[in-house]
Amino acid sequence: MPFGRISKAAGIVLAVNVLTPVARAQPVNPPVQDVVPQLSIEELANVAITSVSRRPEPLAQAPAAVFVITAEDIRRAGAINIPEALRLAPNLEVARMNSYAYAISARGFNSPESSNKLLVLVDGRSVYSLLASTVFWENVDVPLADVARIEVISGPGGTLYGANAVNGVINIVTKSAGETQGALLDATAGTADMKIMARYGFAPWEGASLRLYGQASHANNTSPVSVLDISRNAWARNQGGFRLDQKLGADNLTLQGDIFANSTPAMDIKHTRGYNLTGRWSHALESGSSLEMQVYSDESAQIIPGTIREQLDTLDLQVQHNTALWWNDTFIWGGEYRHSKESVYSFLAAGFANPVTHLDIENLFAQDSFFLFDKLKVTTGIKIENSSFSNVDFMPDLRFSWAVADNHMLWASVSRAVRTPSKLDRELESPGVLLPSPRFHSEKLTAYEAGYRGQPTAALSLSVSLYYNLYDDLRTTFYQPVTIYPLQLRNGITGDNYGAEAWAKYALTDWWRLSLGANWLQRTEHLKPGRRDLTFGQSLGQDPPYQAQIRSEMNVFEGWEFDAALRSIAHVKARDATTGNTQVLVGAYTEMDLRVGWHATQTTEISLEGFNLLHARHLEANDPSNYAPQYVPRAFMLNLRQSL
Amino acid sequence: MRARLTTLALLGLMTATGARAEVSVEYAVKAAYLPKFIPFITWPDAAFTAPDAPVTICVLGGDPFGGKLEQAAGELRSGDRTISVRYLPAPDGAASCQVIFLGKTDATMAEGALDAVKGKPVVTVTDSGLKAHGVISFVIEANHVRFDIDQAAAAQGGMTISSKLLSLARAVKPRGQP
Repeated sequence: MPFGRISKAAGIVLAVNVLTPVARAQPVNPPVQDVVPQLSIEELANVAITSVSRRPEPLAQAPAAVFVITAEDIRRAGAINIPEALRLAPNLEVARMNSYAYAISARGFNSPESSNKLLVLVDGRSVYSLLASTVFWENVDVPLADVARIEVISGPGGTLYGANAVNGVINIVTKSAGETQGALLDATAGTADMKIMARYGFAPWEGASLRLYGQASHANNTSPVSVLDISRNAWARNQGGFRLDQKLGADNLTLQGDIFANSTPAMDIKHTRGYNLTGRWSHALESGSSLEMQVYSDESAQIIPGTIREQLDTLDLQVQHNTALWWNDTFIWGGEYRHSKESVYSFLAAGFANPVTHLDIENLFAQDSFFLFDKLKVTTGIKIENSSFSNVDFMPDLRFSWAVADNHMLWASVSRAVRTPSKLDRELESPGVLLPSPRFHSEKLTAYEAGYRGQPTAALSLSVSLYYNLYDDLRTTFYQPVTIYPLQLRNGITGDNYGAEAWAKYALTDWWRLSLGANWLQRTEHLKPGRRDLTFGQSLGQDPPYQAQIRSEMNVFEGWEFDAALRSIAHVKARDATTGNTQVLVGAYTEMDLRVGWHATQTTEISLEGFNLLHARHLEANDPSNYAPQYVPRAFMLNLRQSL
Repeated sequence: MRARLTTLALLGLMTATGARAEVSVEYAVKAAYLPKFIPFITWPDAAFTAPDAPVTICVLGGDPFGGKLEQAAGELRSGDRTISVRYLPAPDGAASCQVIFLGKTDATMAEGALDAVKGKPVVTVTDSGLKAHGVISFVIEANHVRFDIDQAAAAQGGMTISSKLLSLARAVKPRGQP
């Protein structure tokens, strides 16, 4: 089927990086005192939470489905990279494709091609590629020892985070330079991965902290599903970077950057390289309000020899003001400007008539939250975003949170979010086969959500969220009535999806903690009248109807940790993109990870980990029209963390 | 002179508006921390008058917590022991406490109290902004309340601090370092 080739071309029109803002918020008298006594000692250190309202807010009050992965969670899971750490979030689908690539989504639409509705930020810098509407996880390699926390919001975040925060937002927040002082060596040797990271933090002058890091890693080849697949996808990464935090009275300044070069060393299948530099300034004003500015530059390139060469350069500027409009409300408003230069040179039949596109995005947003009654809090706002690709999009949001009792909160929301078109959606063409689609416009979501979060007993915390998502203008591959060709990408599918997510943490004793999580998703989609889709809904993704996980963390003896995790993912049933037959694309699987950690001294930690122990290999994603499917192997690792 | 006037003017403004609430969030968090440290600390038996004597948290020189500390302590127990709270106007009697919070209202008095209980089984907790550091010292960092631990000072008083608490600290000064 010729479309297979086009789709493949689309799939490999890859890029790194771009889009959407976030300035990190400063606190203004959040009314959290009443919640604080119930927090655990770990949670106390995290009382400020920036994601949902873009200003610190205790998790218990955030009127959204937020799961926070802490630095401790990541360490105890033994995760080797960011995507593996994201398996901790019960509100995400994580499917590993090969040694380096992952498809990650929330609330559906997960597959190598379709996971385009989740926005990902690293310290306020977007790593969502506007070029191909996806995240190239192989280049998002934040050193895990420097991660303070990862906030995973399932559900729309358009009002504060802008376009493409449709099904969720992942906010990766690194520790300040002051929190990473001294020397650290983090080294892992394993059957599938080798990784070494070294960091040094010091105070170069009064009021400043600086950290420098370097890391190198190698992920082995995975084994192919097809006997005809002779590719060697082992992935080697080299990366370095720094972060400088400076305090000047009421001002906080941060300058941070990374540089990387990654490749497939066994075969020259692809290589990527890039750098980014972010400056952030926050100023505490009198009366408790604050002003923030952030500017970043991000450049990255990807070369797939003989296939594609692309370069993406982005400059982004954001301003945010946190204040109050009247007594006891919190008002945030701000704006963003972004310029991207996207260059894509394709050596395939499918390509771009204009290899270079300049994309401009401007947006303005405002949000206010206030207490309507004593215990009923209202948060409402809107973002208006203009892009040179999609004209003006409105993303309004209305949320209620009701503190039913001291430890119990109910919330509900209605909001709208959009995925803006990418260069690929609008400009990809192939003579005689695929027409460009200059009128392709944003995919839209109206989401209704409700949830409960609370702490029924001192040892148990619980979160349940329900959603009903109405999608419109999802992408189809339109074909001609008789001749089939030429094809054209068009907006043409509506969907109504609903589902639930739940998680709980239960401290059985002071040395044994259990975490449970599950999600469930029910999907229906329809072609709009007069529309057609040659790929039988390939853009809708491949989602398991449910998945569940349980984790156990035990500190049995002083200095020793015993951890176990079991996850179960239901089978993925979808229509094959070329034949249209409904079939099981990815079988159901259950896998187990085990870890033993030993704090040999105050500064030395050694751990032994086993991943995917139940099977020699298993499949997590399967979309042959986009990439060569590969198995995920069983793996063992030995890790050493030595601080000086 | 001019700079000083501006600072005063700003201070006046801050008290007049919402800044007060912000301060009490900080102390609500600190009040929540104090009793939660206790299960992670082992005192020598001699630190208590009886096996079921309560663990006493003392607060030296004024109450910055506005009742939050009693609320936080009242809900917690450490093994068989309850947690009680006492306010001390002066450092005398500090040695009878198991935990003593040294506020920043009077830095000289805080330093005096640190000297007075040095080598005794008392966990000194110094407030952020103080120059002197106790066994545990609160630190404000990037809008979060964090704490540092001086393991050497704890060891001097015959106390041990569990690795769990050490792992939650921002920085740990290990045993055997001056």
